[in-house]
Amino acid sequence: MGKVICFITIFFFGPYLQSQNSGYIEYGYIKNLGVNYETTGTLVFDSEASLFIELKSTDKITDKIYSQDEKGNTTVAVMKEMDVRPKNYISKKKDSLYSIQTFFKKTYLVKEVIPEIAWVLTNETKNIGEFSCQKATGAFRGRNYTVWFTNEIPLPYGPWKLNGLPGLILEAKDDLDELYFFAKKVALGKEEIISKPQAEIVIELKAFISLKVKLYKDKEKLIATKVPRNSQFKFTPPARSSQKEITYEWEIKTD
Amino acid sequence: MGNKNRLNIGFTLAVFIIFKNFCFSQTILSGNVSDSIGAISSASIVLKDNVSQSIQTYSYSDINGNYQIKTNLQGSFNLVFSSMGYQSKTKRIFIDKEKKEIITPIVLIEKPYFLNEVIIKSPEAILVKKDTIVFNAAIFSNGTEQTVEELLKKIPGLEIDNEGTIKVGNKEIEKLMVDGDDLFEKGYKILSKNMPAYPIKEIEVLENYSNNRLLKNIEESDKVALNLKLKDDAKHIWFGTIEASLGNDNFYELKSNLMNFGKKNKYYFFTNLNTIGFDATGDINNLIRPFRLNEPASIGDNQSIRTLLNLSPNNLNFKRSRTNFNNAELVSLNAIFNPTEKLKIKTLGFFNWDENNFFRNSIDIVNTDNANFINTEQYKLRNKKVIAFGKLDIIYNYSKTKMLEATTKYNFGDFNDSSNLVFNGVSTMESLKHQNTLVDQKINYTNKFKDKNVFLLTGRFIHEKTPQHYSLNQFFYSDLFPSASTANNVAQKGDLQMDFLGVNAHLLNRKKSGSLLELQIGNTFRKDKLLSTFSILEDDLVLEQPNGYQNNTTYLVNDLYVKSKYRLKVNNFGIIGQLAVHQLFNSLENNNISDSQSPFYINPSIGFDWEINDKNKITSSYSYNTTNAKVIDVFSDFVLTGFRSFEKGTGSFNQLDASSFVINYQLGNWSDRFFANTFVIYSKNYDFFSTNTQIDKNVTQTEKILISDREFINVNSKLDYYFKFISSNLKLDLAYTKTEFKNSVNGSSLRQVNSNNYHLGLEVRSGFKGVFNFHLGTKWMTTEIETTVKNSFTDNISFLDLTFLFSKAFDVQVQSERYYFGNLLNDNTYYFLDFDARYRLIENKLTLGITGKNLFNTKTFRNFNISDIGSSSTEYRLLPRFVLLKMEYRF
Repeated sequence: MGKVICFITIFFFGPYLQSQNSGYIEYGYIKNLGVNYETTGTLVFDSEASLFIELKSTDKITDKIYSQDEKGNTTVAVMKEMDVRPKNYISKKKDSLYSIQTFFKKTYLVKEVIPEIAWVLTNETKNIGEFSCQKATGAFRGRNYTVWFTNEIPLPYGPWKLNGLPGLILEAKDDLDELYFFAKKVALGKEEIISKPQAEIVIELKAFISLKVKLYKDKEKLIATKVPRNSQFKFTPPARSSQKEITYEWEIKTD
Repeated sequence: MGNKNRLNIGFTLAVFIIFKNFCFSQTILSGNVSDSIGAISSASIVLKDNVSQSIQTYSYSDINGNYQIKTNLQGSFNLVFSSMGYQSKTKRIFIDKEKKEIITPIVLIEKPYFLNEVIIKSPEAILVKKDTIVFNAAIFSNGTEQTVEELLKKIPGLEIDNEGTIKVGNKEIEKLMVDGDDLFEKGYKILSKNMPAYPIKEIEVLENYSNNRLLKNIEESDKVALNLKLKDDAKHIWFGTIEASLGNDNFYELKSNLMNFGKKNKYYFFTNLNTIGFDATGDINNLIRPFRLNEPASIGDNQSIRTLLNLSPNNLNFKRSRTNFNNAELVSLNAIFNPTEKLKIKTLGFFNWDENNFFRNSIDIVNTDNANFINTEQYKLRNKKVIAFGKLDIIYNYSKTKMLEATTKYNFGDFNDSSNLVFNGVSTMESLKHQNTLVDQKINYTNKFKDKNVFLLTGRFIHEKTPQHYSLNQFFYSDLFPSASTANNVAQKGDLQMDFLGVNAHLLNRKKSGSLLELQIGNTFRKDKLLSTFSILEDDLVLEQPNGYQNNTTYLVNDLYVKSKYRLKVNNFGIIGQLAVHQLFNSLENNNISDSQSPFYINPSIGFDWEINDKNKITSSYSYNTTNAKVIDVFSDFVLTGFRSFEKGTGSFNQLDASSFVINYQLGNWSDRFFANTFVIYSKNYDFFSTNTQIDKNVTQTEKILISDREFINVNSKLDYYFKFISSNLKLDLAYTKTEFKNSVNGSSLRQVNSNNYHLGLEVRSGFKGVFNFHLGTKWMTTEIETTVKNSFTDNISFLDLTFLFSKAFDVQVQSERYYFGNLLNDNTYYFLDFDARYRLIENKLTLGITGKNLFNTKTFRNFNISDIGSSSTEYRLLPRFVLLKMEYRF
């Protein structure tokens, strides 16, 4: 029996070594949930935590966008980009995922356990940039994702809430073509400050979903009372199928 | 062979194994990852296939550096250990069913890492089409609404008034589209009052809307349009409704709609036959003669004939359907064809037959310095009309940036109005037969020659003719015509004709900063003919055609103009400056006396709008306008305008100057708990047409005179506040209007007339989730008119609506109103009660209902009015109580 003892003379590079586990990735982020929305997302990470931020779109997005095609058909998009950006912060130590979400002009820090996605690895590989990537598929909250991750960056992070693979996810797409993330720039070894985001209201994810339903109902009641005589009003919140997360784990009835 | 030898267990490191009893083929791979210092947490351990090098399974090391992978695979694999900042290590392992556990500790060597930035080219795969679709909260009905109008009433910020005018905020909508196609433009009431609501999936409110697609994002538009998006299963199929209602005393209604909305062609046919007072066309005039303010290529929209003599019912602050005794038939055929990608053809036609009866009794008190008398009148009016209207639109998009539109309209109306009245005890009959013929052709060429620059060239031709024949079987004017002693009836033949030809070139240039420059050059030519022949008859013999009562007027106006407009936009602040320069050429021939003039004038205007923040918006503007007199202002001899009134114009040219100032402040938004909208409007007419009236008991003669200085001010504020604890909204509406002008009565010197109006309205509306909801409101209006005498009165209108949604299939709505007239000594309070109950027998197929109107059977209704010469109290006959049994079938 031999001892396998490896002693390596380490040449300290000071701060470089400390931050060698960190990096920064810029993703293109396309959402096709009823409105075509293209923007950029940034992911900063180290071995303990990651932070994904959805940036404002560089196209001037106004409250309402109109387009008329040659046939004269009009289509409208109604959106507003808030100044407080959506964020997703994963803390391995706390095994928690914290998201910043704005709803009816209030900002919430939504807390949940880091979601475990049952990834199925396939044997397909391809190169993204200079990274060799492998394909994996997994279902997460009602959507089926096909992702490409690279073990050359051996950390379990990815864009938005996608996580848990043996390498960083550089490309992710859902099977309905409604969500698409693709890495545009990868900068490794860069010193990054990753801090847990703050918000005025801290709430658990399940409680947050119920709160949204209640706030929509309250808004409906408020508006219903403002319409003039001979009118009625009823309001339905956006359908789940138009959200990133279609179903939640606690909503799936298990027999 | 030597497989076992490959596995070494290091004793400097802790080994930590979990041993569980799984099915025999599962193998556990575990171990510990460390570097020279200690454990490495979050290191990646992957099991790669030997051949393909693809990862089969994986894990990460925990905080102590320990890892565990469970696998059912067998064979030869590579176990790869990596962590950022270390060199990866690969260990060959062989898994067979014998080995339950393979322990592989590993020590990684640090690798100096340099900053490394990799740029990845984005993939082309995803198409990003800027074809956005509406993302509005879907608005669903609660099932009680039947027509689109009722469904639209459910959208916040949309107001539907008594007559069906749809407004968003304060703006009337431009059009009501179905899946992006517009059939009726401003005549949308035809669609909203008749089309059923159930095929509608979503309603989009399009603000900053441009009627012309090439002007989008170039023109400054605060126009609003609505687009009804249909459910997918309602497209490409023929569907419709038939509704039949039958009640007591010959009250009935039969409605049917047939439609097919496809992508290429859309068809919409409907009919309405009723005797319940309902006007299915809404206001037909909005369809025949739409009026669009500030709309490019709208030259000629404001040109129309105004007739002088009309026999029509009064406009009451009251549901018109209550006083409209009718027998109406309406058929409308409409279609949109898209035969090719570039060509769109819209056709629209309707035929309307209607017979309306109207009844009123009035007592008129004239009380001025030099005239005092009382007149009584019992009036029965019957209007019979037949209207045929056709419109053809051809839109040819010959490229992405060029478009040609041609619109042709034809209208023919034949009217037979007669009235039966008793005037101061004398039985009188009037008859007015008239026709209206309109031909209207417009061609518009739009060229978007650069990304933010558009050029429009428009030409318009309109010909309209309204011949009239009026006869009256009494002679009330012996004081005016003492020589006609044996006269016993009068007649007037009139003809008004208009020919209009206009050309307009319009350039829009939207700058990068958001500022907009507009330049227009054009010429309009209008020729009006006004002919009136007044005859005094004895039976069939013409006794006299008195001088001073015959008109043969030809009025030509040619306007050559240049208009410029610049909107400067700086962040949230916009300034608009406008300048219009007009060179007119007027020619007037009145009974063979001709005259001409060439006035020149400049009209400036300046305004601003400022969005201070999300909650505060303010707009203001000032403008100076000059209006050229119209043909009805310039004719020289008297025209009979009613059975006891004559009117004449000034007989000469006039240009009227006016200044107006508007300021609007908006606090909050309609979807907030608190919302307030305030307007202040002030206008001053430096000269205006007032009247010099000779009032006698039997006849009134009015002459238009030019007077200076009329002032008008209106302050209006609307507030909304939502009380969460009672789930109800309170609306407060305050208004004050003041008008000051002068006129002359019976040869007096000019006397000042001041009129003040105060208005206070309160409404509370509940938003309960359950079965019951209410809507309660009350409105006080005080009117004061002061000349040498001061007259005033206060009225109050209150209402209470109750809604009961017993279930999805059954609902009842009750509406009650109370009217109170302050100046009537008795019979000054009136109550009305209507109800509507619906039961859906077969969901989406068959609905039964009962409707009752005017359940208190209020037969007459009196109101009170004051004017600058006295007051009048009028009683109107109302449709009596009726109950209808309804059945609606959908297919």
